[in-house]
Amino acid sequence: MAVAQMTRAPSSAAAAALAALLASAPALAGADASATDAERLQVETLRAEIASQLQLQAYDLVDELIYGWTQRPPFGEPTPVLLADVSVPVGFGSGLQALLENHFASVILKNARSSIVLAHCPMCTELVVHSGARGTVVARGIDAPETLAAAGGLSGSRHALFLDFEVEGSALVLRARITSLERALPILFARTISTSTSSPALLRSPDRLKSADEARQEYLDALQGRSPLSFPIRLGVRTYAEGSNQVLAPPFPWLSGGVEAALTQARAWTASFLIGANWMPGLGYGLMGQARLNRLITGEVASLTRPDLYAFVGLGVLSINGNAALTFASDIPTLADLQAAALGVDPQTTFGTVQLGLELRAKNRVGVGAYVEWLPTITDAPMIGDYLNLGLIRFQSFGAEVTFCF
Amino acid sequence: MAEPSRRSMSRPPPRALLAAAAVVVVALLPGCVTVYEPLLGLQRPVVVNLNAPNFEGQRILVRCLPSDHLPAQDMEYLCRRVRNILQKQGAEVEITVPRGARSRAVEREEGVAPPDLMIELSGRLLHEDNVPILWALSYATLTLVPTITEFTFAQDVSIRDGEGSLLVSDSLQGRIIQYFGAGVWATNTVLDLAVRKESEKINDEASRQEFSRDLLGQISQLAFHARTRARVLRGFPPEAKADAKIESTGPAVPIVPAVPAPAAPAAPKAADGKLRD
Amino acid sequence: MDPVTFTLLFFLPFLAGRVTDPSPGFFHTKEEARAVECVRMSQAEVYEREPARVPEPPPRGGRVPADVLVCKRRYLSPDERPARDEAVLSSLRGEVSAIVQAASTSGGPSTVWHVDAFYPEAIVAQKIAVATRTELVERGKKVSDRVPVLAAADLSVLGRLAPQEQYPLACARAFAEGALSPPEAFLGVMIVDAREAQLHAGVCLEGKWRWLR
Repeated sequence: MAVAQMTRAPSSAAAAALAALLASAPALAGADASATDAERLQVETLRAEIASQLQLQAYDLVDELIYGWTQRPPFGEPTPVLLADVSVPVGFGSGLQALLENHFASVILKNARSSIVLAHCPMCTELVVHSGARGTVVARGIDAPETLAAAGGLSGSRHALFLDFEVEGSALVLRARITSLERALPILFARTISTSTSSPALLRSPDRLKSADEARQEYLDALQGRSPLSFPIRLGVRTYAEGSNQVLAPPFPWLSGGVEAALTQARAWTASFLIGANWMPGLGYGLMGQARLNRLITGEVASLTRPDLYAFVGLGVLSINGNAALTFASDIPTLADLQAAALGVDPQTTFGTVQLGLELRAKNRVGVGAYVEWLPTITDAPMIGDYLNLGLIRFQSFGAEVTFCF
Repeated sequence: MAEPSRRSMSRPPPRALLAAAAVVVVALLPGCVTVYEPLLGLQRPVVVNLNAPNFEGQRILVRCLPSDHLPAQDMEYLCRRVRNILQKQGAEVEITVPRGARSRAVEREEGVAPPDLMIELSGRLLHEDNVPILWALSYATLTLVPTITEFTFAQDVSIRDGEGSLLVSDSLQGRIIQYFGAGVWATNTVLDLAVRKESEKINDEASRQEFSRDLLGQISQLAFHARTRARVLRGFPPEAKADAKIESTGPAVPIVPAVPAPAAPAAPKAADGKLRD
Repeated sequence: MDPVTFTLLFFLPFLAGRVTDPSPGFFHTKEEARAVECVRMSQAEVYEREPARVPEPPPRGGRVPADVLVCKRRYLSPDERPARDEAVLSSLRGEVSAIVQAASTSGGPSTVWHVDAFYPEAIVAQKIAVATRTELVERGKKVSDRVPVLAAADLSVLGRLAPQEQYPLACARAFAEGALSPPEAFLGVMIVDAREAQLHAGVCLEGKWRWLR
């Protein structure tokens, strides 16, 4: 279900646009009847996807029906019942019917508390002919139970169950009824259950059925019970644009960890603080402190079922020790600098950064991100160029990272 | 020797830039892409054929009630459109657009028979959204970034019989989204020309046609429902033009478990005796 | 153009928002848009039903309450089934509920109801009949799955009559022939014109037919 949240503000421009829409004759142009093979394939693929979803929803309805029987059995004791008919929605075929029959049978067998004992009746859907004093009647077996009983087709059962599924717009509706197989065919039990495409299939285990309310409560608990704090471990690499001396600075790997907090229950805003470090043999080591503010841009609520895309802005402080610090120096390192380093006097630099980036986070467990960084105090380092120069802001660094949250 | 600053040599004067921007914006005024999305009710399938004489012999009064968001002039236009479509289906249609609170009541001249059906149309604006920051972004990018204005409306339809008993009522909701900008207009035009098939094209004309087709189709269908409901509740009184040619779904084989086979359909004939679809 | 690039990047979040918008345009075709049923509801109402989909609404007295466009995908596209069948089936629950509500005023506690539907498509007629029977039982009525049968001669005569004559005569014949007897009642659901997508109903009680809607 797609949900787009808006705010309200009246205007008369709407009236003009609405009236303008009626400004032409209502041409009843027919739809383009031709369809390419690719379009037909696309339609078939979509239809298969819908059919699968419908099948799962139909299973849900069957589970809900049987769960209801386990709570309030229709009979006082185990009673043989014929599965007389399973009707699928108009437009669907017998394949779905067979799947639903099998699913119903498998679930009912595992739930003896329902008081329904499934009996088999192959003659129920066959045509039977009965000739008598009043004439000859041709009907389905289940519609003429006395004929079926005389033919021995009822297998000792005195009740029949009918399941009818129908698609009504965006809802799938199950109508179930149990009829007593006597002349008057009284309906002893009937129930209507419906679901819609907006609610995902509950996929309950047939051994441990639970009601839709219980399943929904579990879902809400999972939603609200998500801890506002998580602890990310991040592995990333920063690269720097080629500078004026056409020497490419080496990429800087970073390992960082810290804490991330959800600022709203929906996790639409989150903030994180991480400290990190790196070590490059021969080049030195680095320390980093970084704070970020993340905003969800794929919806208003973080999803439990699909990845979320966040945009973030961050501030960082990096301290580089060792020869790697020379990358950020404003002068090209001289022999004196290298000699100083050889004597154990390590070069060191500290600078701030501003980040803008995107992160794709899956179930708040794993994330992949990319960002650009502005180093406002590094303005004339010959080894640091610009990836993107916006005049006032110059993005000199590009970073990629993988995050694991605990 | 430092190179002369190229920027200072090539930068146009600010006044000319503003004038150019104004010209671009004005030139792009037709560069508005209107998208129509049917919501509740407007998506429903329409069964009546809008070219067939579905209301032959019927006298219908159409009242279009103005509101704050839909002034009398616009409602009058709507009324005329509805009148045309119902006249095309054989009805004698009278339209009124009441003005002022008092005239909401139906006024009837003495001695004049009440209409067979009375259709009342009124509109409501359910929602509007217009993001101001997008206007700033659009200006900053010379409309490369489009502005997006959308609103959701409801067209309420009530149909009564001549005595004022309510037969049918419904609310038809739809959504209009307007994109304005060079970027979106250019992209949409390219897609229309190169990618989309005829029925999928998105432009003002297509949106108008779809909206008209949906709204007028639903109004015709609702009016037909009202007509048959009135006939049923009044016990099928004889009508001016015989209904014998109308397809009947009455039970060819009543009260049996199997559903009856329909009577052989007889297509309705036009006044000139020629058959129509 | 540097500010333009920056501004275009700034526009990305708005663009991301349009991806989830079901309206036809750059991300969805018209066919996809029509395969979705959308209605506008208040945020509080949607949060009540689907708390994972929208943020919690602001407390009363806060900023202006927002409303939400709620969309559900249809199982079948609108042109998958014939227009009339689709229109009838899409509104079946509401129509049947109204019919049973009207019929409930007839008969008494001991009345046994028989139901049948008259519709050109047999499968759809069966769906209508099943829905009506189920609704009656759920409202506490006694319902039989058996449909009264008339003699073949009666059927051949009735088949040639207009609806306003068919049903009353069939009702009278059913009681005369013993296909129905007190305290039984028959609820018929039908359409009377092929151009409509609404259901009518009538009750046959003690040999008298009465139109409900």
